[in-house]
Amino acid sequence: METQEKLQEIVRNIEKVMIGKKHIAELSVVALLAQGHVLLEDVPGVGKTMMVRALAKSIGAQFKRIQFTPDLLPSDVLGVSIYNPKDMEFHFRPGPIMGNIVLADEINRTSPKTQAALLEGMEEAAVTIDGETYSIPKPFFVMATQNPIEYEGTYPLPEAQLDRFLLKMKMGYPSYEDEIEVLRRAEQGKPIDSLTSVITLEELITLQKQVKDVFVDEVVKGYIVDLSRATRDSQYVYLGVSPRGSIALMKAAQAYALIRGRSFVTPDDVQFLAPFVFSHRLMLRPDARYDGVSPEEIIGRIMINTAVPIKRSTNQ
Amino acid sequence: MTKTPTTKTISLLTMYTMIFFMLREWLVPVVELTDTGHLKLFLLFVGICLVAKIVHLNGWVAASIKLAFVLWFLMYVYTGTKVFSVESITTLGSDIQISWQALIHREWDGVTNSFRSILFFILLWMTVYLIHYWVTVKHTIIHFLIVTVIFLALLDTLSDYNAKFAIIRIMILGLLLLGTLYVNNLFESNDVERKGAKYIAVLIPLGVMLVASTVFAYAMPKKGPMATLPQSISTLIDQQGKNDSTIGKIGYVEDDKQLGGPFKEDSRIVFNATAESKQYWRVETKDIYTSKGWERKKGDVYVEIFDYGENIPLSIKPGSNVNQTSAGIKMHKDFKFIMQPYGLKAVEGKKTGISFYREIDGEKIRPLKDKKEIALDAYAVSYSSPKYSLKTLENTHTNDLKKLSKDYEAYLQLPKKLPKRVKKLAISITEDEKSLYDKANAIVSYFRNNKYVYNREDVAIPGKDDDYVDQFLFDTKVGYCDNFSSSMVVLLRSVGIPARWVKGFSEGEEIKDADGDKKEFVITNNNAHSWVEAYMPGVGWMSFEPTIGFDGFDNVLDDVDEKQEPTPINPKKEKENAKQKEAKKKEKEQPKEEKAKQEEEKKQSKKKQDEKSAPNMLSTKIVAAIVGALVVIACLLFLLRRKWIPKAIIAFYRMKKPEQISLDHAYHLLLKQLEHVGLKKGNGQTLQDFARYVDERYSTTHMSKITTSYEQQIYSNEKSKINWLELKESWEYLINSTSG
Repeated sequence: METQEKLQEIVRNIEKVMIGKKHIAELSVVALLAQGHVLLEDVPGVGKTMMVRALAKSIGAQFKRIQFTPDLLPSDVLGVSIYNPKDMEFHFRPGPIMGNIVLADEINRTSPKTQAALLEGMEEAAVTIDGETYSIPKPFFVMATQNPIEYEGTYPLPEAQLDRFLLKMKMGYPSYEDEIEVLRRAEQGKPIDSLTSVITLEELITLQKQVKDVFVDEVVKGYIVDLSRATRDSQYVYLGVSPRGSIALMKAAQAYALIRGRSFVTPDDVQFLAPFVFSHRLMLRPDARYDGVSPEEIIGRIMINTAVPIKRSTNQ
Repeated sequence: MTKTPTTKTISLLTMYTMIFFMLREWLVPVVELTDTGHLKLFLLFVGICLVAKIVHLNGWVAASIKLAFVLWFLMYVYTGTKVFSVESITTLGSDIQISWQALIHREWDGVTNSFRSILFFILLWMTVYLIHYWVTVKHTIIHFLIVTVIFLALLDTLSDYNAKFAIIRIMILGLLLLGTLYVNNLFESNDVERKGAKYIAVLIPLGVMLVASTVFAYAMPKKGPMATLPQSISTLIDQQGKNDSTIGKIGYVEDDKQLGGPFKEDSRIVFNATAESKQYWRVETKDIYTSKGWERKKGDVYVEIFDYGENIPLSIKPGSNVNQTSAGIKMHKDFKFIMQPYGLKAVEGKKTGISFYREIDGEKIRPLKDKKEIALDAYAVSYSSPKYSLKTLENTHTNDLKKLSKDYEAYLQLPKKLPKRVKKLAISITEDEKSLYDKANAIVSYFRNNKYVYNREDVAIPGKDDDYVDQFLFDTKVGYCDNFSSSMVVLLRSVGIPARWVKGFSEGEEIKDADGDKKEFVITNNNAHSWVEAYMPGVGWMSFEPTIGFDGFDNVLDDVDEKQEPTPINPKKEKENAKQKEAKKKEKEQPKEEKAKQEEEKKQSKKKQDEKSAPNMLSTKIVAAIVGALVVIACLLFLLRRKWIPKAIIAFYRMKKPEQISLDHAYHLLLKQLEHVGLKKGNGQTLQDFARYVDERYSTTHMSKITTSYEQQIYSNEKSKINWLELKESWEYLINSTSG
C-alpha cells in the first residue's frame, strides 16, 4: 500500500538517527497523523531533540525549539505585537510556537501561565494576541519533554493540561548493541545532517485526512470504552480516563492501523496504544504509590482482564 | 543458582537409592533360588555402578573400577585369596579358557562357575546402564517396574520364593520413583528451577497419595488365588508323571470342599457290575455343608472292622431276606473302597489277609490288608433292596421330628451365613404337605416344575460371598447332580428333616449280550453321581433322587388300604390326594411298554423345555454382549476423543460446499479445539497475539494466516467474501494438530 509505504519510510528515516527506537518513531508518526501532541518523559541526553529534528526533517517541516525556563513569558512562546514607529502600526512578530514541529523542552520548568499559553495554542492550533487570532500553519505537532528526575523548582503540569497530549512516552536507554551502534555513527559525523525529507507537507496533510477514514467497528469501539471504563473502576485510580481519553485512543488507533497498512482498527492496535494514551490520564490514589504500582501496570492489568471482542457485533 | 545443583543431586541420589533397592528385589530371589551366595558382594557391585552414574565418573575410570571389583570378586570367591595374586589370576585365566571352549562346543555344563559369575556381572552392569538411561533420558521407569512385578509374581507362583512383601515394596518404590520422575520432568519441561522448598512441596502430595493408597490397598480385602497352582514347577512336573489327572473331568473325587464349575465327559470305565437289576451304588455320605461344598466331621474317624461274610451294620436297613440277592463287581480303577448296593448286608467271597473297615460317620467301606487300605480287583456283595411302606411313610409327621435323639442333630447342620430366602423357599415348598415323605417329594417335584435345567457345562462356581445352594436355587438354576442333591439336603434340613448327602454311582449302561441269568452293567466315570438320604421317623434313612433326568429309586411299597384312610379333615384336599393316588396306581398298572413310551415323551418334553430356555439364555447373552460392546466402544470413543474428534470435524467440513462454510464457525471451532489441547486464548489476549503463540507452538504460520482473514471479517467494514479454499489447508492442518 502506498500510504503505508510512505509512513514506514518516515519511521525508517527516523530510525537512521534513532537506533533501536522503532516504536518511539512509530508512536511519533501516530501522533503526527492523528494531529495530536506528544509528551516525552525522560532524562536528558537520550535523544529527545534528535528524535524531533529527525521527524521534522523527514517531512520537510519547519522545526522550532522552545527551551522553557522559569522566567519565560507567554509572549516568548506565542509571539508579540511590536509597534513600528515607521508606519505607526503594531506588527505581529510570531513566537516559536508558529512552526510545524515544535519541541517544547522541559515544559515543567516554566510558570503555569506560560504552560497554559502553550497548551492553549496546542489545543486551538491558533494564537490570539491583542484580539487578533493567528492560526498556526498545518501540520502542527508539539513534542513536549519533561525530566522526571528533577522536581526542584518545577511546576508539574495539571491533569487538565496533561489531557491535551495524545500520547505520553518514555524514550528509555538504548540497549548495549544499540548504544555501540550510536557511538559508531557518532564517529562518522552527525547522521542527522544527511537526512532528507521523504514526504511533503501536503502529502502529510492528505494522510492526516485519511486517518479519519480508517474504520472502527462497533465491537472495537466497545472494547475501547470497556478499557476506559475499567480505569475508572480500578481500586488504585482516583480519576480514570475521560471520554476525551477514549476519543484519543480511537484516533491514535486509527493512525496506527494506517501505519500498519490496514483500513480498519483491530484490538491489537488498541492494546498497543492504550498504555501510551492512558498512562498520563490516570490520577492514582496514594495506595498505588505505596504499593509501587505504576499507571502502565494498572493499564496492563486492565487489558489482561478485559475481554477482547472476538465475535462480530450482533447488531450488524 | 547454588541451590539448584544440590536439590538436583539429592533428588538423583534418592532416586538411585530407590533403584538400588528395586534391583535388590531382583537379586535376592535369584541368589536364593540358584544357591549363588555372596548377595552382599553383588549388591556392592550394583551400588558401585549406581554411584559411578551419580557422580558422573569418567567412563573409563568407572569401567576399570568395576572390572577390578569383578576380578577381585572372582579371586576372592573362587580361589580364596583376599588380595590380588598372580597365581589366582592364572587359575582364573585357565577357568575362562575352559569355559570359552565349552561354550564354543555348546557344552553348557562345562562352563565354570567363575565364568558364569562374569556373565552375571555383565548382565548387572548392563541392567544398571539401561536403568540409568531410562531415568535420565527417558524419564520413566515404568518398563522396569512392570518387568519387576511380573518377575516377582511369576517367582511367587511358580517357585518356593515368597514375594508377598517384595511386591508391596516394589510397588511402593516403583510408584514413588515414577512420581518423582514425572515431577522432575514437569519442572524441566517448563524450565522451572528445582528449588528445595518448592520441589518438596510438589512431592508431598505424591507421598501422601502413595501412603494412603498403600494403606488402603493393604487393608482392603483381597480375592484369593484364581487357581491353586502347584507349589512349584518341579512338583508340577512330578505330578504330571504320576497322576492320572482328572482335573475338570467328571469322576469320583473324594474331596467335595469346593463344588461347582463345568465338567467334561469322561467315559472311562470304573467298574462292571453283575446284578439282577439296575441300581445305584453308594460309596459314602457327607453331612457338613459349608456353603461351598461338603466336608466330613473334623477329628478322629471312628471305624468298625469286619471280615468277609460278616453282617455290616449300616444305617440303611436291608429289605426282607426273601429278596436277598448278590452282585459281582469287577473294578477297573484302583478305588480303595467298596461299592455298596442299597440294602448291603455283607461283602462275600474270601481272600486271605483281607478285612474291611467301615467309617462310622460317612459309611465308607474300605478293604484292609496288613493295616493298609488297598483296592480290590473283584468282589461280591450280598444285599436286599429295602422297601418302605407307603402307609408308614404317609404317617410320618413333623411332630415326630421333635422326638428324635440328639444323634440326628448333625444331619440338621446348616451354615450360619445361609441366606434366609433358602429357608423361606423350603417352607413355601413344603407347607402344604402333611407327611414328611410328601414334603420330601414336594422338594423333588419343585425342581422338575420350576424350570431348573440339568447341564454339566454352564455351571457356576460360587464366588467368595455366594452360597452354592442359594446360587443354584435362585440365580443360576442350572446344574448337575451335586447342585440338585446339595440343594435338596439344605432344603430338607431347613424344614427340620434330617438329611445327608450321598455320593456314589448311578446305574450305568446294561450290556445287552451278557451271559447267564444276571444282567451286566458298565459303570463309567460319567455315572459318578450324588443324591440324598433323608431320615423318616419310624421308617429310617431313605434315599431320594432330586436330579432331573435320573430314574431315581423304586423303593416304596404301596400298601395303602383306601378303606383304612383316616377320616378326611379337609374333604376337598383329601379328594385331590385320592385322585393323585389313583393316578399313581394307574401309572403302576400301566403296561411297561406304555410307561416307557411315557418316559420317552417326558424326556422329549424336557428336551423341548431345555431348547426353549436355551434361546432365551442365548438372547440375553447376545443382548448382554451387545450392551457390553457398546459400553466398551463408548468408553473407547470417550477416551480417544482427542484422536477422532478433529478427524470427524475435518470430514464434516469437507462434506460442506465452500460457500456454505462460515469462517466464524470454523474459526471458533478451531479455538475450541486448541483449547482442548491446552492452547487457551486468554481473556484479554488479542487474536493475533494468540495466533503468534499457536504458530510458535506448532512452528507454522497457519494460525496467523487464518486469524488475519478472520479479523478482516469481524473488525473491518469490508466484510468481503473470504475464500475458504485458501484457508482450508491451514485450517485442516491446525485441526489435525489438535488430535492426539
